[in-house]
Amino acid sequence: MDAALHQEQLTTGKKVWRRFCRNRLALAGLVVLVLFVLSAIFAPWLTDYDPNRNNLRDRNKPPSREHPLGTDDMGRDILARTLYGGRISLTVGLVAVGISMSIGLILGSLAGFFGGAVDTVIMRLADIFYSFPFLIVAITIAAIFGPSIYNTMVILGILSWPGPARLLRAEFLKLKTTDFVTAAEGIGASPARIMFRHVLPNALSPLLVSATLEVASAILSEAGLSFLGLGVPPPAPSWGNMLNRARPLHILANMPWMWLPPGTAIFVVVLAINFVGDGLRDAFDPRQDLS
Amino acid sequence: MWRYIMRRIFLQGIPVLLGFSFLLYLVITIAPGSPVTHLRGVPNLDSSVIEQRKAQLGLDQPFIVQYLNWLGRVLRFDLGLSFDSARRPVADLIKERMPATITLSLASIVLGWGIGIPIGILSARYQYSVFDYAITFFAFVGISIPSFFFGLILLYVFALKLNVLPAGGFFMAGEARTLAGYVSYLLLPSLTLGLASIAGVARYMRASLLEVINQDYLRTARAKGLPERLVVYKHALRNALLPILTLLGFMIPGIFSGAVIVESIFAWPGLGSLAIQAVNERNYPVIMGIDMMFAVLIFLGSIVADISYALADPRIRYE
Amino acid sequence: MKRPLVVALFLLLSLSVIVSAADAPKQGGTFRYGITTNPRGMFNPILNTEVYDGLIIDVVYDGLIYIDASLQPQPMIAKAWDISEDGKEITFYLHQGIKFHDGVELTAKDVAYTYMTILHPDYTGVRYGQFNKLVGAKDYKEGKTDTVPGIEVIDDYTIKFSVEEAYAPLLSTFTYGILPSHLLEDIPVGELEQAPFNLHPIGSGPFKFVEFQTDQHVILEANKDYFFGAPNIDTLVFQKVAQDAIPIYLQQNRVDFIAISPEQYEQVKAMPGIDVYVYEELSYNYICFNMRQERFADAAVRQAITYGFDRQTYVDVIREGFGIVANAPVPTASWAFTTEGIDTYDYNPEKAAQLLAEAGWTKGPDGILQKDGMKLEFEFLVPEGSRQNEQMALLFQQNMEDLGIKVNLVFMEFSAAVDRVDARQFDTFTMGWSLSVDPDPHSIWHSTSLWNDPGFYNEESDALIEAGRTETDPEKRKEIYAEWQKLINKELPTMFLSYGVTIGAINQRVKGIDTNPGPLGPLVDLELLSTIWLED
Repeated sequence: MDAALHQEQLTTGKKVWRRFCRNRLALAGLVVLVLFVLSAIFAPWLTDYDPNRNNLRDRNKPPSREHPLGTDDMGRDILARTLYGGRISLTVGLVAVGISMSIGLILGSLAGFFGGAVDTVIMRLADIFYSFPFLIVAITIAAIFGPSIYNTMVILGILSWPGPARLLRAEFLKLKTTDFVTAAEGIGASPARIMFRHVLPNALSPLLVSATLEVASAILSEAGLSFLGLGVPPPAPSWGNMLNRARPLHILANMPWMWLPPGTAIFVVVLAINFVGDGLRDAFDPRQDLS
Repeated sequence: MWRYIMRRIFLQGIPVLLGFSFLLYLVITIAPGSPVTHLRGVPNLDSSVIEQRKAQLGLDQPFIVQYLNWLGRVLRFDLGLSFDSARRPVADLIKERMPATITLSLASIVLGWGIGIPIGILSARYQYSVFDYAITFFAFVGISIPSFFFGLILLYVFALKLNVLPAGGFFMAGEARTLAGYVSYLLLPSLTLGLASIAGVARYMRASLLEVINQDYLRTARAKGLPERLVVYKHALRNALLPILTLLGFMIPGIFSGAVIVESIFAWPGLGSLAIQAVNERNYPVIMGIDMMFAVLIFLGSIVADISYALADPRIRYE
Repeated sequence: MKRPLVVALFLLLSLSVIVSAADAPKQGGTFRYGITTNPRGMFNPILNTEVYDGLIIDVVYDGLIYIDASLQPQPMIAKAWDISEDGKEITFYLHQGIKFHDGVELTAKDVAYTYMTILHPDYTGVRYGQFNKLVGAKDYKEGKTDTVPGIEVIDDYTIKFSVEEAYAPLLSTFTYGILPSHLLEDIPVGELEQAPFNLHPIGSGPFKFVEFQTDQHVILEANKDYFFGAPNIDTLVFQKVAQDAIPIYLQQNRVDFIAISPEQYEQVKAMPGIDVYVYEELSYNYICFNMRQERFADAAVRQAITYGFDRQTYVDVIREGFGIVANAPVPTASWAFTTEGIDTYDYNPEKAAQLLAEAGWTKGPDGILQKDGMKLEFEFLVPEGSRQNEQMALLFQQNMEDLGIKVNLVFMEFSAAVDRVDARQFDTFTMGWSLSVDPDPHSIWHSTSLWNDPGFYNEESDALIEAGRTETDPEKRKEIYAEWQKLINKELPTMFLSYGVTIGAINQRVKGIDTNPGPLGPLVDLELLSTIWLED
């Protein structure tokens, strides 16, 4: 029976991939994402400048041959800062989601599998975290531990676990209501094994979709936190805190090279992630094959 | 149904709110910095004043005592006095600003749903048309721009460059409070706050309607010869709209969080600026007051979401 | 024959009327003062601690004296005063007929009430420390007595204050608004904080309180019965403006006066109909060394670091010229400011390196200076929220790197930073001080001060501070402070960065302002609001 299951999953995977590729927007999004990730990883090769080296003589210069995207108010090269900032913004997004997924997976499984009191306690905890007005709590925590890259990741991650947890729990519940479990028990398989071997793969699709969208949300939140001065602290560049520097109206009006790169970067990456997420959702939907 | 709601409130809501308040109080008390920081720099400050102030605010007591004192007062519907120098009742501070935040949130919901639903419907009706693709693209764009960034651009274009809308704030002193005025002050902030809603609602509406539109029972209606328009608007819509209500419940926390940023950009006199200021000053009662209020509202929102979910899907029944 | 004479006389008369009418300030209009932070609603001069509430208090209440544009005390409610030879007694003679906004006359009783409340044992405000030198204040505060001998009402319009020992700044502390005792004396002092009066203040000042809309505006109307002459304008509004929207508000003529940031200077200066004034403030910012650490205990190290930081570039570039490099804790705006004997520590990295080398510091294998097991690698605490601070910190870090000193920047939220500073858990940090009109540095610089952040214990400094406090002769006082500044400039417990500068933008329709503003600005700290007029 295991072998057959394995086979089925393989074909499903291939099917999903094929469906995904048919969606041109989603494919384009994936390509864009890969490009951004690569440019972030290979940033030191793509630019000679140190994103943190300030050069007050060259401040506020528009794009030129030396500085393809111009310089900021401390004379730092904007292209370099955008590339290195990508590292930070993308990392924050990925780690934050990693944290929330991990916590959510564990707690959601426990809640769904054991049910009863365990379920109630965990769900109440989820409600509590869910009620935290995200920004206000983020501000408070940033104050305790100080604004830093790591703290931002942890804050975003810890406050988002109820989402994945509820998802996983819902999958468990769905399975519990089917006759599948009774039937499998009848054959002799232990309920635990069944749950985990069948729930997790089924949960994979909504989880994956949810994860991609959460990365997008985390990147936006990081930008928002930095805007309030609570995200990644200077001098490290992040797309969010680069945007924050362009807040005064005269910079917004007269020096667009300061905010267009990070703003466009956030926008394009988040857009791409959303396309991918949506494409994934459609790809996992077997009804797509019919049309 | 009422039994369900009551159970939800007492078995779920109260413990959650209690737990939340405890955790929150703990978090803000642990934070370094104290409410008496603003006394730094007062000329010739006598050190006894700092001690006296701390005692007055209850800061010399252990955390649990402070928390229980706060809890006791809250149960008597007393939110306490602000820790800043004016020592005004927290309830007053919140009452003064709440209408502004509620107005903004409502306006953004009205915009979000008012624009999002029709767009979503049309998008589903004319699936795969140019309109559909354009709307879908716009929807994606809408949820991909950081709200504060969008707000800054709106401010720049409409207030600075074109000078047709005010640059934030609210009515000036002595300015006549006309309906047109309300709209002009509210427009940019609510657009900014509502942008993500418009996009989200449009997509959700489209998906929901599409799911319904291709169902068998509608095929029967079409086979009977009913015009498509009737099929869509009368039959499909009714079933597609209910899930949207659940969306409302889910979007409420996001709207409150977003309001804080939007209020900051547009100097909208709502709770957002009070909340940020309170956190910076370690104004515990104000922080607790605002956060608890939001928590209650979010909880109510989730009840609304669950109920409408049940209404939408007759298979789910709460007993 | 008389006709032409009559006509001529008539013409002359009308001419003079027309001419004088042209001179007479136009009446009416609304003046809008822009503010970026919301007042709290504590419009009570003895309980307030916030700057923005202070603005409203300034126009609703009058004090015994007011501070003029050259920072000198001038009569207000007190038409004159006598200071005794030994400097221990001040007798104020009040005007007769000054009325509160509700029509009741202001007498010495109200003055006594105002100051005795500050000394009351149940008083919840922060002003006690400024008046605890009055005779009998301590006993009264501790509940041992019922009266304060140091506050003596001689008659309805005469009141005498006495202190135990001569206290030079005494006169300058009597600027606080006088409260109407008839409205407040029945309220227990401990509950004064909660009094509705604080949200609906009644004073004797040029403007009457009308309305306070949180986060939006405060509206006041002219006091037509103001003792010193009704204001020319009808209404005064303090309008909340978002920091980013300031240029727009000015351009759209929505505010008449507002302070702007250096970044907005160019844009606002170019606006037609707006004048911009730049004036020095009584403030300075600094980098503080924790002298409790051995490495910073050596003055040579502190001086070297000061020589090694390009403060001129900081002022010229980062502050865009809006600042003055500071070398002592007394700003240029103060009468006690001096340059003689003050070393300007001009940026000189070679000299800095030399000083460090002479003090025995050498570069270790990692390139960082070290000596006897100590390293010149330290944390620099920077409170968040100021772009200029951020840039300054980066410049500082870079300059220090050139010397072989490693600076680790730690950006912290302000409140959290203050916590660290109060707990003395810092290596270096940067903040600023806003100073009172009187140059007495005791609060900040005396070794017993709560805010002796650097850990500066110097007997000579303490002695000079104490002497300056009790010296009644202004000339001698100036000399004492000059001595003291020289000492601080040499010891450098903190590195002084820049004196503050305010940029005020004012609409040209406002007439009667001080066009050569001192540290109190073109409106002389709101004093001129009672005399300016608007010409559209």
